Amino acid sequence: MTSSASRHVRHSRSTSGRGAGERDGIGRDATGNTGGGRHRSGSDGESLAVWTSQLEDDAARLAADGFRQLLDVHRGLAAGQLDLDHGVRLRGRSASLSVTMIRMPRLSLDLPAIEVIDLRKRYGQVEALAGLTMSVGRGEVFGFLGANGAGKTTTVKLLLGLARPTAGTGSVLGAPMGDLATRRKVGYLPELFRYQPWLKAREVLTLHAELMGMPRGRRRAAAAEALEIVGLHDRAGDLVGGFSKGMQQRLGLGAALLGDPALVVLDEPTSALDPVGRVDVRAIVRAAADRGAAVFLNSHLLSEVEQVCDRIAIIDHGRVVASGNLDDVLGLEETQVRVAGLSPSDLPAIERFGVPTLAGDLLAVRPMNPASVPELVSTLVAMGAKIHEVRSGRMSLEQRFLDLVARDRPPAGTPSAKRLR
Amino acid sequence: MITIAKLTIGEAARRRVLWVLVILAAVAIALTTWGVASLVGTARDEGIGELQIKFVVSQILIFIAFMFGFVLVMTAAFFGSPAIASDLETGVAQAMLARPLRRSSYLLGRWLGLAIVIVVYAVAMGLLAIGVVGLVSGYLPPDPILPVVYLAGQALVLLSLTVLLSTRLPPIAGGAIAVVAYGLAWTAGVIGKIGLALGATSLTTVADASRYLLPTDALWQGVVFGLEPSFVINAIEDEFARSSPFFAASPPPAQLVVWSVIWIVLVLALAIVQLRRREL
Repeated sequence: MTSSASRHVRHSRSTSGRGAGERDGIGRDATGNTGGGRHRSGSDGESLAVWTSQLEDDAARLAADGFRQLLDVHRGLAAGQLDLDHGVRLRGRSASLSVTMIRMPRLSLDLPAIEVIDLRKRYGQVEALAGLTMSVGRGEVFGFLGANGAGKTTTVKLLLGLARPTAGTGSVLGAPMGDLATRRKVGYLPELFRYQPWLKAREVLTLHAELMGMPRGRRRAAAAEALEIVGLHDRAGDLVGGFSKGMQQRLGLGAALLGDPALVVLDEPTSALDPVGRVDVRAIVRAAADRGAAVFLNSHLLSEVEQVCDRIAIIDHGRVVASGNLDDVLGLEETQVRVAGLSPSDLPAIERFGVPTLAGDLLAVRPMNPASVPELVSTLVAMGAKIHEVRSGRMSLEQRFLDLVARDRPPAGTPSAKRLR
Repeated sequence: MITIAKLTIGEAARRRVLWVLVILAAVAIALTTWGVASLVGTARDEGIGELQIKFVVSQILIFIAFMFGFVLVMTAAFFGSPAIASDLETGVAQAMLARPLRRSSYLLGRWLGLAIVIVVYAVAMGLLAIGVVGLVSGYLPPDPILPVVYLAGQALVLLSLTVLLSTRLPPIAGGAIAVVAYGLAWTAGVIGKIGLALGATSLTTVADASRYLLPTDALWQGVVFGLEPSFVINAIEDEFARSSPFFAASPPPAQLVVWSVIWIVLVLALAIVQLRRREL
């Protein structure tokens, strides 16, 4: 199981892997800005000039038409006529060009993997998304939580262009949602995973490799690698129609990981897996993130999300109701006291410790600093209450989730949930 | 598009139903050949003239073409109606369309793959039937390729219709509607011919309209015309005999043949629009 501490370390690494003052090869800082936003000036202008000069040298050496096009682009950049953030499309192939092309994608490397602003989706009278705004960084595992029907799968479909938003905007890997070329870099495991039952497992993956535009020579190796990752390498030649649901889900996960995508979207990736499979998936997800992929994990399995995600967002009725890293979302410490002789009228006296709720003989105070527990106990004893048990700790993700999404639902034996809203 | 077409051909080739159809068609051709050989042998023994024999054989061929055409239409409906609908229902399409694959490429790839399977099946079986019957009877249609092409065209029209319906309707509903529409178009063609014999313009108008709505009957006329010996066309003068659905005095008008091609293009364009609009 992944500890909270290690999660924190990972998150820190993913968000601040370079120092704030560090600059990459094109004179940008770690945030991806060149300092002047879209207007290049000062030291950024100088960096651009150096960069452009290098490219001019390359172009002169090669004297290739493709490079002339490239050069025009960089001159445009230097003159402020073009925008770095929009990236550049290149034509032509050459050894030196490929070197330069490695540099070019870095222009958008630090843009979020996913960014949506006020995204809305309406199906007839039903509002599936009601102004969803969120951002997923590169290289992070992002848990997207919500009850059934909260809008999780709708969000995924909008991101991938399988459905169109009613309103709002969004980008995936720096391109508009659903952009065809960007989908080459996105792996997707659908909630309803189903693959051609008459194909062999290997063939399904080579088909997906072909669809994503992978060169013919690499497809079989990529498929074999993906099957190895998901533990299906010994079933590569078997027909998918003979697979169990769990094996089909593993195959879908393999398809999503094919070709090292920059973004992996997993919609309920462990719904058909046994506990061993779930552990495997957690390791696979972490490994994908360690390779630099952003993982968008759509789930309502809270323990799974808690163990694997760097950041989470909780969605309810089509809106994000909480987001941040787990420490942010679950940072509220609570103290539970099993107590006798306490009545609701006594509660105002302990409100200085946090928000108290009393359900039967269980008093919960949230949020509450654990350092104040002895003082709380003293206060309760002074009020004449008899204390049987005291527990203090962070709210579980499940509790936090219920607090957030149960607001419009009838009480279901957890009166404290209503008080904490 | 080519990737999806190849995938579709592979899917059809791995389905047993296609091979069952091939085997059934081969058995039917073998039985027909045996029947024609016996018939022609008996007729010659009894001294019946070659012209009469050719006429009878051509009528048998037309009847076989009618049955085979129906099988082709059913095959087109059977393969076409789940082509998109089933993929969408099961989620197979969503996994593929999340890749850099245009919906138009996906749809046209599905259509192209099935079209190739159906055309190959139609041409192979059609030419085989014409060839072996010709071998045992001595009768070959004036242009054996032409009726087979019209037969395949008829199936392509139905395939396009079922693919269009498949973007919105469940497989069974789409297939059933397409087959019923084909039956109605064929019936309208028969009614039109009767109308022509009776001089009833309202009936011919209905038939003309139906040929534009679903041009299968116009193509059927091409099949019949292509299988007839030329002397039969000139010999039959009786208006009611000429109104038979198994007789064609002329090939389908060129504009109807062109319209059939345009019709397929338009239906596929509409199918693409429907699929693009659909929320997956």
